[in-house]
Amino acid sequence: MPEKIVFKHIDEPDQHRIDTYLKNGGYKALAKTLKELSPAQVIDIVKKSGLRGRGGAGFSTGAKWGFVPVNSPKPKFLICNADESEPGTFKDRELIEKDPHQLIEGIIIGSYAIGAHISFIYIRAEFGFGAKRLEQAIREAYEKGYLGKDILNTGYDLDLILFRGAGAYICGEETSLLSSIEGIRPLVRLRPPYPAVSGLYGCPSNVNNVETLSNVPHIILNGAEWFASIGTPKSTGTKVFCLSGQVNKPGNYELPMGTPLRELIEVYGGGMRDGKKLKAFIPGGASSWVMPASKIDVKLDFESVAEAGSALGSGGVIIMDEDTCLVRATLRLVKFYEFESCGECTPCREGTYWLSKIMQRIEDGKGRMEDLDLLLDLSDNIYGKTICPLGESATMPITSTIEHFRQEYEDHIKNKRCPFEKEFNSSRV
Amino acid sequence: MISLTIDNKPVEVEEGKTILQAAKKVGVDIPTFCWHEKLKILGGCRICLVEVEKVQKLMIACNTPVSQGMVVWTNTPKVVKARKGIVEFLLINHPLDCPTCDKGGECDLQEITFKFGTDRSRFVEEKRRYIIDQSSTFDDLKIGPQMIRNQNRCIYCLKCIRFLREIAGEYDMGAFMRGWRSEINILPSIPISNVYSGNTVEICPVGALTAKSWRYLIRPWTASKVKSICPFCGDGCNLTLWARQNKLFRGTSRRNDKVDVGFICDKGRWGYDLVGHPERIKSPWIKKNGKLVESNWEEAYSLLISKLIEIKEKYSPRALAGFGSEKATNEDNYIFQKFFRTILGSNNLDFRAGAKKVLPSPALFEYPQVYTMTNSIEGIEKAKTILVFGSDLNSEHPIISLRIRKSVLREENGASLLLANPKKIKFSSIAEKELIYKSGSEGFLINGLLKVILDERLISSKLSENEIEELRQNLEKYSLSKVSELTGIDEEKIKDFARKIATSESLMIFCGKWISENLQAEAIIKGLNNLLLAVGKWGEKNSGFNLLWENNNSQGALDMGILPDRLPGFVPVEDEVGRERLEKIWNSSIPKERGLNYNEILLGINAEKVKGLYIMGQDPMESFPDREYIETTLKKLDFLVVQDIFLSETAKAANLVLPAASFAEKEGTFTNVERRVQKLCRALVPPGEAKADWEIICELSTLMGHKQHYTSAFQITEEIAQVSPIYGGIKADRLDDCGIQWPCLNLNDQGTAELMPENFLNKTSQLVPVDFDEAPADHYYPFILITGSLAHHSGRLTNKSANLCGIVPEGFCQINPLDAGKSNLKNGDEVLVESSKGKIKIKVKLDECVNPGTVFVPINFEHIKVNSLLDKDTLIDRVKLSKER
Repeated sequence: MPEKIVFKHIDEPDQHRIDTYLKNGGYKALAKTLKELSPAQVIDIVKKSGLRGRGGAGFSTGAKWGFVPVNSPKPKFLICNADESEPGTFKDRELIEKDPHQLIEGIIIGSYAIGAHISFIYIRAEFGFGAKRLEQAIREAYEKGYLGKDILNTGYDLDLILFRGAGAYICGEETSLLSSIEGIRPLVRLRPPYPAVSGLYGCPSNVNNVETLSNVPHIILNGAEWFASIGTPKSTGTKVFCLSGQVNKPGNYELPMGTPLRELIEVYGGGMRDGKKLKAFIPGGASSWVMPASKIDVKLDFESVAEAGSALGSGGVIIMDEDTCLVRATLRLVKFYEFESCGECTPCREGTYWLSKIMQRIEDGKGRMEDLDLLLDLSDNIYGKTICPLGESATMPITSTIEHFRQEYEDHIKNKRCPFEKEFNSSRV
Repeated sequence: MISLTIDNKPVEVEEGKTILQAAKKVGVDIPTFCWHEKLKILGGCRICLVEVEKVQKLMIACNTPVSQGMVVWTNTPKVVKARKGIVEFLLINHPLDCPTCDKGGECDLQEITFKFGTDRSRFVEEKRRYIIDQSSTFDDLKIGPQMIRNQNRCIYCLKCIRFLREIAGEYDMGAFMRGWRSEINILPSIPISNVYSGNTVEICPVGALTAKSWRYLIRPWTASKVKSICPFCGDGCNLTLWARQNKLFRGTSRRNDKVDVGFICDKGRWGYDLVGHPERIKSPWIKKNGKLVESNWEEAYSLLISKLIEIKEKYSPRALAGFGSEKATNEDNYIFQKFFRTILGSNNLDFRAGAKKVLPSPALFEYPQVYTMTNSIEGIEKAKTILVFGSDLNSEHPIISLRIRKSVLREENGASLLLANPKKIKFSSIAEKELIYKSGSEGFLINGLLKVILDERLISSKLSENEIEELRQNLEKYSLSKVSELTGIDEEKIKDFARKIATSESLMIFCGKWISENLQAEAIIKGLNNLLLAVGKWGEKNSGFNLLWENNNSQGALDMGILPDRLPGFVPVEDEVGRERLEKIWNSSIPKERGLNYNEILLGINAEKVKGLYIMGQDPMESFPDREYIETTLKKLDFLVVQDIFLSETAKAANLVLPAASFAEKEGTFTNVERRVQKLCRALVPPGEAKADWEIICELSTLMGHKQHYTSAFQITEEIAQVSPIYGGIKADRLDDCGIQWPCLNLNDQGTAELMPENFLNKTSQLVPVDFDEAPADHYYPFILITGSLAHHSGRLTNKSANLCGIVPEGFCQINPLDAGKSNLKNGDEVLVESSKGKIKIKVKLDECVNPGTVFVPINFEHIKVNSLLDKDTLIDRVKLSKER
């Protein structure tokens, strides 16, 4: 087994309690940070480590912290994005529930680096158990003096506020998330200005993913070079892959960046379920392009997946076997985006509505051949024209499945029914 | 400056401007839906996508800042396809019910589809529908008395709620749900009732929000659009009146960035319907045997002339008096006073019906007797500290209030808003500090503030030692504990407030009705000027005293010399040089002695010295703050002639009633609170035989042997320019853009935004301490009564507007819940409000905006004769309440 970082102690009982966490070396990175490093040094170390955002975009975390103006008269905020709602992604949930102090330590270090004295964890509404675990952990951290005034007698103050969302996927988008905390309708904000300049309440803010922040204490303790030596030169460190679909052992696997998909499925996932053949997979959560089985040897790092025509995204790897109807799978994804579109911009609001209607018709056996070109053209009218990537994400399964599996669509249309249905049933989706 | 090219056209704009702004500069048409110049950028509609060279994605023009050397294309195949795509998306769920949609002809979606869309639809699915009523396909939802929402048509630009939130500060409409299910709605069963709601109808790019008053009546392109000015308050918002076949159909804003920024209040938007009210007087009426009977002009004029001459000859010219109008035009008022002064030979002129005691006449060039705005509305945006003293500004001046809100909420160094009022007003929510004083204690509060400033050595070093010493001696009488007791405000709060005033970088003071109609108005205004002097802000930039007159042309009536001792332009009657100059222009003599003011005229009638009264466009019976007194007084007249648009209570008591034209039926100018002279044009022919006020008086003059040569109101405007130096450069054709603020001395003068010391004769001002009377307590009548105007109404006039009465139909009596509890009163209970003068029955409304011990009754309703409770001689009015069984 390769070295684990954020999942190192994940299966230890009571790792969520501060005593166990401390026993396993917890909060040492924080002590080192506050006592030995300046904020600029912290940012520098994280930059050098090559750590990239694990929420999906893969932007350099150190660089993002560096955008926060040092001499702003306004307060600064660090916000941990724990609104993990990407279909096929469930890594943050496990990190929150089982090792919350690792996250809190990362948040404190990050806040120190950007000069924030108030920090938020924005946790999705559905994570009730995770929220409880975090509440307990935050309380413990306050009690032990890792949060609050004068942390570890270094003069650094930080308050950490747990903010529970109200159940909208769009709040995972960082600017919507900020609006949600402000208590206003969570519409996506235009950039510029970027949150680093004008974010929460118009103040400099930084929004980071749970997994990203969980990596930070380890980078501080073990050094940037150590972290950069894991993975590939451009995608450093490990990644938690959320393996789901028709494999024998679905679950979270922390592996070095660049691990081939085949290895993930065959070695860690225990191979395909019931000996079925792989038909297609989604490498990076629902918001990435569907890839055919022929790409099974793709290496799972930002560059390689992009080169193969998709995106590493959040690392939610969804496996689909030969019995999967890709039209229905696509329909399901499009319906998700249609349901979650915030409605702010025209292409996404109207486009997802239209796409899902057409997809539903095709799945129901009422498609027309010209619908395929229409789907592609509408996707083109959405892609690149929206405010945020939500609407674009709705087009990804459509354009990629039509590209790789056009025959399946045509079968639906020609036979006027879904070929994977044993009995015709239009209301299944 | 940044240079770039848009469609090959070179353009230079300042750094920070957007592509859209640059494109406008060179006339490149980029379509927009959700963009609005006055709102923050949303960037949601995506119709303004353009191609920027070296950028892979298309960019939205509305939010992309320009950069040096940028090359922008708005017409490439990529852009054209994207636009067509957006239009197609917007249309898939749009009902395309243009034939029955009120927005037809002025709909952005129609327009942009026409220009940039395609002629085919590829959409074969079912459209989204928000079904309101299964039996209809219109899906109209009434969300307010005047507002209809049709969500099917909505394109979700959010301009409506963005306007309400960003500009108006109102939250009674919002967006619900998400995605294509999003809808604009109100909270369940709380209709939208804010006074700015109509703007959302105007800025809605489609027919999603429409107004009940205009729906299904006519198509916009068949109406003629006439430039007018709102007649309902002193702000002077610019209106467009939409008329067809001599009927008004709609009022909309006509953006004037100096005044209204393109947003108007609902009173101005929907009150136009009173013009077409069936009760308009259409011919002269003569009282015969105690009853008014319809007559004709010939009979009316001959009666009027014979009576005027009879009184003049039997008694003296001074037995005749005239009340001018705060609602009529400058031209009407000018001709009225000229008629009185030259033909009748009387200076007994006034117009200020709402005050218990009128202010002395303004001495224009002598501070601090300048009863106007010394700052400008636009200048409010630069204010650092704003003190609103004695004004329900949000109700009295809704659009100036928007400007103040903008100044307070501006991003960098927003102004501090300080309030001192007898009750809470809407601004309470954004005020930095607020004092609620007991009505009648205004002066003590001012002297208390001065005392703190003096005691804490915050006084301006600009004052002389003498002034300071005199002030110190005067203020010895005012211990802070006594001030606190009289005003009902904690000492600490007064201190805090005074410190804020004293340390402000600049200070604008705004006063309204609660001051201008106060018995001690003169002293209070002096006191507030003392406050400015004490903190060294008198005559400073972005500082000043501002008295906001209530009505659309109160300022103009003052300027025109509807005053017993001032000729037009505030020339004193006794000033020989000034008078002779006018006599020459008018080719007639002017009586040398000052005449009687409002109060004196009423006294004169009672003393049987004034026998004939000519009232033009006002209704003292309803507006004078002592109903019993005015009623008995007017009865004593030998002859009362009333010229008005409705048969008012006063008109009913008249011997002769003359039908006048409304604001929509005549030309002329109004002068708003900031001294801005603005032009209104004629949209309609007056009903029946009604005529413009100035026409009536000119005809009367001619019949009396003084031939008048005016053929249009604007000829009178030119004569005003000749007569009044401060109007010297005012000419009708100069007023087309945005009007001009006086002093405007000649045709090259662009007007004066702020009155500065150099505009005054006494270029410095002296602090002269003032004293105030104490309001006596009265245990038999335990409540202090305050009155005021509601935001949706304008005096009594808007009682005739069905649109506005549909929004706020009836009056009420606001009472603090604590008092209500003691008297066992609930919301909606009928209560008997009784003063020593009279009593009225009225519904109770529990509201914490009034302090315990205070009740508030609006003056706007015919069925509540509030002025029957008032006593013209007392500083404050006291009442008792008893539950009506």
